[in-house]
Amino acid sequence: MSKAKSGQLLKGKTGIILGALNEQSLAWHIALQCKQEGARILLSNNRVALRLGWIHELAALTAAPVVCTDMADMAQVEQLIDDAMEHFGGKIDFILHGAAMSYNIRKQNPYTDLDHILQQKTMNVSALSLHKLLQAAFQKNAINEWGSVVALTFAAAQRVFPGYNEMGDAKALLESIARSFGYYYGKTHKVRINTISQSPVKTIAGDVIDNFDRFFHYTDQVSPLGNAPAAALAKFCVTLFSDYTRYLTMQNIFHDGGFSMTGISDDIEALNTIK
Amino acid sequence: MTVQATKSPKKKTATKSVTADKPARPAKAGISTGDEKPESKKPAAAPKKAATKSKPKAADVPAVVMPDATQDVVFDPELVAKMKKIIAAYTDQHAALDQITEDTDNNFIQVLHIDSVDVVEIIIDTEKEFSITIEDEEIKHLKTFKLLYLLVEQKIKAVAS
Repeated sequence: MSKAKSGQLLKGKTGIILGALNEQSLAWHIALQCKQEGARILLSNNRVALRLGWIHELAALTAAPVVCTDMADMAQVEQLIDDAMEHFGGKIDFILHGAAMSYNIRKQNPYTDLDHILQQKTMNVSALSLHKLLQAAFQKNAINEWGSVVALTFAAAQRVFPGYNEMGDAKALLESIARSFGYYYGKTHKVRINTISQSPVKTIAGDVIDNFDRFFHYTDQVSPLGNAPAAALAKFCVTLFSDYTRYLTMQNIFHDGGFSMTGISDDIEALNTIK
Repeated sequence: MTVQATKSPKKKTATKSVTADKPARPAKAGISTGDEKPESKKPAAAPKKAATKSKPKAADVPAVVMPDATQDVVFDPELVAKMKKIIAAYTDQHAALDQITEDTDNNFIQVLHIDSVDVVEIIIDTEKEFSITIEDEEIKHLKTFKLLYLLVEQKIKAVAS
């Protein structure tokens, strides 16, 4: 089969990509795919990510400016929207929210002994930041009609994955915000908001999750198609930013190789040891 | 590698900035703290060549000369106070922080329950507070408060001279 040729699915569109850290990042792949499909983008992440990561390489690859934004700070989120509108000379068409941080996982606090101040910071950066972003965009009328906002999530919002700790709660809140805001933004501005529940991917964020390799291996075995790689997510994500998915909103879409709908799989090695 | 963008939004607040116009610091392969001011507001040319690697080559990373951590140190209380104030924002171990100049060979990162992201936050705050630059390679060697203190002191003196 010949290799699929990239098109210009996002030709003429402009958007913000939040959360690219390095070339393993989901947001990194999505930024590249957006560029490949003809979009003009603006990159944003926090100051630590800019210092640790390689976002300026991505900026070179995508001809995009980089804006440093603390997603927990409403003033900075508003400024990001202003910067994007100024940069593009008007409204934008899409936003990717790929920002997440678990402060309790970083401090290795188990779910039954969370530091609640850290938990609030986690919720702020990983979930409430989506509301801040949408509220800023909504109030400034920053997104064109039929524009699209996508936030990245994981199945721990619906089911328990012990190593995922407080992030399961954060993702549940994130998905709820996407649904709730999707109603208002759709009603008034025809802007759609969805979340993509992605297979685990080996990223820096994933590395801090307890037993990530086992977790990755397990979901890969359960999923009939195997774990969805980041490059596949990027291709799917641009369809959500495109005009081909205009009536898809307020949804949480599982891009996980079938993991979420599979109860048991013959491929789980541990099962094969049971006679 | 020089990183440029087609256009850069204006910097409007002190707490955030747009760094697209700023050429990458060679030693850090284009990493920005996010605190620098854009060097130019003019629209920049499109990048000439895309980078293909995510990490700098070994040859691109300058060798670092860390201060001698075995030397006796007379701590400047004013500098220590400023450094402690920065670190205090990233630890809940305030009693240990109070004692930090008493047992300076301790791994302060472990003692103060500071993680790797906190370390970078502390470095960025320290650079901002003292108008110095700490290289990524130097960060990797920072295990004790004494070493951090000596490095900061050395860089402050270098800037002053």
